[in-house]
Amino acid sequence: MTQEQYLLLSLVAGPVVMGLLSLLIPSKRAQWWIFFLTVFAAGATAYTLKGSHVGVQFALPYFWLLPSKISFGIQPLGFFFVLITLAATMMFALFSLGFNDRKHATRVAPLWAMLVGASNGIFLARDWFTFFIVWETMSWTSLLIIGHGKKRSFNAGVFYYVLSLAGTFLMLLAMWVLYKNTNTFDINLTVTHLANAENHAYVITVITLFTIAFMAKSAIFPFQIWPALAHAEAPDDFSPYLSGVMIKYGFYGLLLVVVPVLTGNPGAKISGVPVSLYILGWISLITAILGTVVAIFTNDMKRLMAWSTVANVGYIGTALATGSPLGYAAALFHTANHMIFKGAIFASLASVKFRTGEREMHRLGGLAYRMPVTFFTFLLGIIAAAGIPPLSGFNSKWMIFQALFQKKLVLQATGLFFASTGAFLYLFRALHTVFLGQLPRRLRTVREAPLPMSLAMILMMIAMLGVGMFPGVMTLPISRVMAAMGIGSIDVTASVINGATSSINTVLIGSVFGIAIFFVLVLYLIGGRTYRLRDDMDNYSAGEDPREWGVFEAQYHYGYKFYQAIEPLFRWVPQTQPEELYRTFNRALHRFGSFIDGLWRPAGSLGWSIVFGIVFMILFGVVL
Amino acid sequence: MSSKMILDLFGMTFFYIVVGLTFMGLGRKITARLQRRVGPPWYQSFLDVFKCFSKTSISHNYIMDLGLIMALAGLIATAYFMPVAKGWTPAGSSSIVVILYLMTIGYLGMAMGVSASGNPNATIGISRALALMFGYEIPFAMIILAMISVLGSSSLSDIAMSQAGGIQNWNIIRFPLGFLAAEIAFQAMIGEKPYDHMIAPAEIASGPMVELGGKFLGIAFLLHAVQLFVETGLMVNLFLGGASTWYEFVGKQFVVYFTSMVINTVFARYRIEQGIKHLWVWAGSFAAIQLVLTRYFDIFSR
Repeated sequence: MTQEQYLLLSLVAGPVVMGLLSLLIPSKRAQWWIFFLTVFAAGATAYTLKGSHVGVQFALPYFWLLPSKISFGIQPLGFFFVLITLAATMMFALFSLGFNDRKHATRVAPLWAMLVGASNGIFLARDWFTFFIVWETMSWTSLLIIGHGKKRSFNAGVFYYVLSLAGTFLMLLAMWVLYKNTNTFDINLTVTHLANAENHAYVITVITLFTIAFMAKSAIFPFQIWPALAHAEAPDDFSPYLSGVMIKYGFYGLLLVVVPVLTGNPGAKISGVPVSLYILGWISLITAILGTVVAIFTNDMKRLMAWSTVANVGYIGTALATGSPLGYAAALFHTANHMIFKGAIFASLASVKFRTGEREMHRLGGLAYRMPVTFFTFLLGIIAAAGIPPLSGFNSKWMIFQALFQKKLVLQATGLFFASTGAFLYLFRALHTVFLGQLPRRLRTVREAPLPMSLAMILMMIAMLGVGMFPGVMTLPISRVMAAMGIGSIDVTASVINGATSSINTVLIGSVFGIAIFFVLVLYLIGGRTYRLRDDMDNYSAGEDPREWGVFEAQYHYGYKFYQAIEPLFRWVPQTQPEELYRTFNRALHRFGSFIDGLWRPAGSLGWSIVFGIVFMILFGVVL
Repeated sequence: MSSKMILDLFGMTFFYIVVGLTFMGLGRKITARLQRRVGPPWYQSFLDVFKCFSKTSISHNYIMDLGLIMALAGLIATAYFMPVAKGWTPAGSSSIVVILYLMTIGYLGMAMGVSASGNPNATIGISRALALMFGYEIPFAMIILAMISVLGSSSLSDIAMSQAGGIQNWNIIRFPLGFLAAEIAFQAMIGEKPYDHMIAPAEIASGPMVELGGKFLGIAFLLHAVQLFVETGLMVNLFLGGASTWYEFVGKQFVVYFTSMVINTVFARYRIEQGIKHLWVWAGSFAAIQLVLTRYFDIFSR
């Protein structure tokens, strides 16, 4: 093997091995340092491999039963994902290093290192067999991390795992069908086979199986519940990774399989969009709207942001489903942006929880006066998430709208405007309830997050601003990746994005805003003297002093049920219905089991169940 | 970023503020006359702003200062992307999505600034304003989408230019239902009755403005002035055929503002959820019918 091949292999195997080795070390802090260094080493390795097209293939020794060799290789799309996820992971790792101090340290560092390796493996896998192995490694390591030794968290993790397992089975079926028809596991060859297949029903069946698997991973409707449970219950410093990086695997899969196949073999079209993508678009739109509306009325801050992630996944899906180069670019760009801004948001919430231990928003308030760096990270994060210029989220959201305008998908665009306006509602609510308003007395002594955490947050702010002002940092590589994949390209420069119906110059927008700020600042400074109040509660209350009625800061903070006035308007939204659906399914299965059980129960029923299970599986295989 | 752009922006800022403040003064005059009062002189808003800036102000913390500065700057930047005459835009480009989203930074800054004062009345006002935004943005977006689907361009100056050549080409004729919807939404957008939940003076002590005094109140006045310029300008460019000179533009803006002030004077306030329901049911359905007819049946558009 050449040196490049070793480097490539080390991207996948390195973190896994380091993770396993660090399991032997008893000290938690040492484990976190190893994790941090491993991630940075992986990042550096990936950077040196930039521009290379190396591939590596080998048979695992002692595993001669395996049907295929293990093979990894650098391909444009996968490597783009490797680079952006590792860049984001480096910031999260720096953040975790500060977060896991003596009081808060968890034992998830070795697992997380293995997860980073598996994640690279997913993006570098060249054949379905390898893909499946790393995919499963990713699933169980993330399950254990979400669990992190707490009963409640583990239940949430199991919920996530079962949903993703359901998807994985469908994916396995699709891989098996492909192997049967092509006699190879190679991803590129199977995709080409599908893109040139005559029988369209067959193509649709296979990509539907893949799509459902990826939808389960990316929490697209009807799988949208797991983030609210898993993101909220995961370790606080892991939530940025879970929400930023891991939810995107589904989109990588869609871009890897579904998009090239439908480019080569589009079949019937509605409004110029292949039917299956059109349906996916509507499903994604439902996801975006559901996520938004539920987020508006959620009080738990981590759950709120998890629902916001669901909504953003909906945006990405809607963009992807336009089936145009602009839409694919928008989806990729929003994927990268969401990674950073949602990472920043979760990181700042983790800092808040680190210092206060609270998750219910209405119990907080006024933290901006005590934690400025955290506040500004959160502020820039929500500005990006709401798609307001001049930050990164605006550029990708603008591209999503352009893609929809181009295909004249006006109804979808209306839905997206609805979701986007709603996003502003819940984001501002979180900003106010956690960071503004009254500072409760018991939080007077809260300090800013420790240095590594603050540093990581500052880096994320720079990333958001940088991509906001110079989207070319992302859009130019995206355009190259798309050209290499043969799915078209987009018309961009470092600071200009040309959409279908108009174009924007981000530097212009940013500098106009900057100059306007300068003018207003001058105006502010020439205005009269400012007298600064020291007491939060010293403000207008119609001549009464709230303290005389026994009202203190925490009660004077308008935070609980922020949008109560409009709650009656959203009664129609099924807030718990999907969970109920799963429960109903569970009950029905249980009843069926009891029925079988009641028919005939031989002695030693556990052993017999296993025998029956095996017989059933063999029968199933024969039928297939 | 050249020195010419800085000068341009400075000049235009002055223009936006003068137009907006004049409108505000005239608006008070119109209201007064409809209520059989004499009312203040038209230049009263200028005096108010000068007085506000000369006073000592009370600030609660740095976020309050920052929020209000951000708000005014955001709206000035938005106005800079608004086509003024013959499709001429100071900034050179006028993507409608940019205008709609840049406007939001003004609202965010305002909301952030007044929330930081810690007065619950202010926050209740903001919560109402944001809820109302849910009501009017959707109909407004639908109308804009109808126009984009006909024209194939999402640049506001293209939309304005496409209406050139006489009143029969104006979008008010071509999209009558859309105009009706936009007019209802516009009333909510500038926060006049029947949609003035945000300010609601007798209920929540002027809402967001409750803690503002001195130059902060002055900035809030200027904010409202620029906001009026942007929102009336949006209506003129979308429906009233744009303008060929700047005074024609301001004249048309005044017509839009005058209509809105008259409606404001004769209506009472809705309750908040009634207001949103009303916006969705009436403005929303008009806009939806317009959108579907335009996009799928190709009626009304030409």
